Amino acid sequence: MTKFKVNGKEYDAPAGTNLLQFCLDHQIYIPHNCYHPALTVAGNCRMCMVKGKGLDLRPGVMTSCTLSVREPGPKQEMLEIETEAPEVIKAREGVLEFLLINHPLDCPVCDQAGECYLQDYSFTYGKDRSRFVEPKNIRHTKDVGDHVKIWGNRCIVCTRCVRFCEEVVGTGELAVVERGDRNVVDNFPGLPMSNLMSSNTVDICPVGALLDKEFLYQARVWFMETAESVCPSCSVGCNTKVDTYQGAVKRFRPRENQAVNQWWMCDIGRYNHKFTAAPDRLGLPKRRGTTAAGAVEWTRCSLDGALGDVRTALDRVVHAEGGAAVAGLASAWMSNEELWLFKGLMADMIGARDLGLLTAPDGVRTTFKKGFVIESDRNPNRRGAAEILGRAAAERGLATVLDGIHAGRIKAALVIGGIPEWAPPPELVAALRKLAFLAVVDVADSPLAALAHLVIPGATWVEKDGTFTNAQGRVQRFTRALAPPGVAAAETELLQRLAAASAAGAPDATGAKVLSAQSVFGDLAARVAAFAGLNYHDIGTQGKLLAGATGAAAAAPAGAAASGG
Amino acid sequence: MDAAAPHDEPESPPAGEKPSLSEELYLPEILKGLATTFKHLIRPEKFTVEYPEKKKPIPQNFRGEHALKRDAQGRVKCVACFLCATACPSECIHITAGPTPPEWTDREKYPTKFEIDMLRCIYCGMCEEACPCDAIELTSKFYQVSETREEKYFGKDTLLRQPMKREYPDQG
Repeated sequence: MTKFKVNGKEYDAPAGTNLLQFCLDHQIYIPHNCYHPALTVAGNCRMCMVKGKGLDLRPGVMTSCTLSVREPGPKQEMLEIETEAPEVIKAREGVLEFLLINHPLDCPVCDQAGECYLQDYSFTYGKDRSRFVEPKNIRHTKDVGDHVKIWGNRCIVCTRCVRFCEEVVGTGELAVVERGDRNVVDNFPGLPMSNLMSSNTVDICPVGALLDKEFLYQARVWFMETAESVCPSCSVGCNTKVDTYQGAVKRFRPRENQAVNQWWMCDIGRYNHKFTAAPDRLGLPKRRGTTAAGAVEWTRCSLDGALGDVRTALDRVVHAEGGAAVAGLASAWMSNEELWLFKGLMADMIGARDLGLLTAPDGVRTTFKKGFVIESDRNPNRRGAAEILGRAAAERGLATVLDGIHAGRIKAALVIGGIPEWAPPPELVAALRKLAFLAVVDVADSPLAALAHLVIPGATWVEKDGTFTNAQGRVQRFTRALAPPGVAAAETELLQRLAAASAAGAPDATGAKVLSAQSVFGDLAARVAAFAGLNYHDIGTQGKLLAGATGAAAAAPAGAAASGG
Repeated sequence: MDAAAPHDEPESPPAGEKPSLSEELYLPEILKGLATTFKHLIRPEKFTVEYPEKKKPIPQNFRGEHALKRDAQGRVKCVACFLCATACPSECIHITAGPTPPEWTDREKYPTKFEIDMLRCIYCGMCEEACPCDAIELTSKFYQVSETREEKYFGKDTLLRQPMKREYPDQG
């Protein structure tokens, strides 16, 4: 450990520690634009000026991002920096004046306003006027990729995006073109930024130069409400923030979790929110009927009535033919709590023997230069389902159920879908058609719901609380950002009300006490060995590993980061 | 009398000082008052306005119903920056922004929808003050009549049709 001083106070850190990062970690704020902990140090924005002393440093101000903690040599003094010295304040003011020479003052129409480094710094550290009277440079405004557009006038050439594409993604589509004050970021001709991590450049852009084309003009950032969530689009389970405005999801942003997604998320997950506001979302339960002409006719019904009917129908089949005649299919898009309640209801209360797991089809596994991974398993909770329903049910349960239906042994089923934009495999559709009674809980009017006798609306993960277990075995919490449409409710609630509906079928489910996801998780942790010792509160924002899980999938990013960085 | 009584009331005589005979009689003061009454009876001076037959002029800085202004080409001046909606204390301004049509080369963003819920509005004028483009104005329109609630929910078209407070050189 090496001793050094910041603002007169002595600190200790291992030699080689980046001084800017050290200060940021210790509540000493130094303004910075081009520095990002994930990227190599560029030192080109000149915003993180500090006054340095000691070692072999020349007197005066210098950038703190290029300074690192070092042991003083013989006859050298200890490293000492000041972050708020008068020289530093003056230097920052000067740097900001230079940055604003060509930067347009269009904050009112710029989407970055409100989360813009340059805007905040100008307010905090800048001068209140510019001495620059010459006309400003005009630079290009163009698409640089599938999701990203650049406003060249706003670019301060910090090169965060250029370094990101080069170092983290490894594709290097972006470069700085032109010279001097005409400097601007552009993609190479014929090489648009179409990698699967491209939209992270929008997050790391400190100004409004790179903006997301899909979020453009959708909402001012200060009006949005943010909930911490987890991305369900693959089994990595990137930590995310869900930004909503006027009851609709507007965008997803990555949330830092070094053990899972570092600072990033992929474009597949980022834009996977349109179905939450799709016109085919279910808001009311519906019951299949037949018109006089023999055509299928759906009638809307109340949630209590629908839940009571489902329970009655399932109980009737069990009463007549035994538990083996009822099957339950859950999806790997359900939370741990829902899967636990599902198992409790189907196996323990109704007595179903066969439980199976529905999964979204696999995609392509993609690995990026610095170790970020998009898993081929496009389900958020396959690992959790395997632990809760049992490995056999998760892997072979569906096949057993299908065989049971074809053999005529299984007569009724409760299926919980919730996989967005999912086309059920034809063999599943064929089998489900044969059932005497099929109840489906789904978020949209999907092909799966079309097979049902009774459809109950469920909630997407942004509309409920719960936990997913990712491929590493890390249990991560997601929180409710929106209210579900209509009378749709979280599956934790639906399943508890189904369990409370009496076997006689009287729909007295309304009065039943519905436990929160937290309480259900407590029960799960007490009863399932893999979840032993976990507590909903302790999972916090960064997740907790299952008992016995090594976080193996996490080893790849960490190892690659060490070699690549 | 509570503590908040008007402060210009004549002070009561200091304790111990005896009022004079004329003050004690009250008669001269009553006569003075009657003289004023008769003066106005003979030569009346009107202080009231025969509303609604006659109307008082509305001051220039009166804050009535909102108007959206147009630029020299007759396009809506607003750039959908949401600063009025941000400043609005009663949260009655609802804007939906969108990219401008390609022929508008001078700007990129404009309001596709601009709605003011006049029933929520408190006519404080903060929107007018916040606007960086001078695109919204509280007009001197005093009479606000409607038969339904829906009519008080002003859309962009209604706001653009409103009469202006004064003539603007760049109005189309």
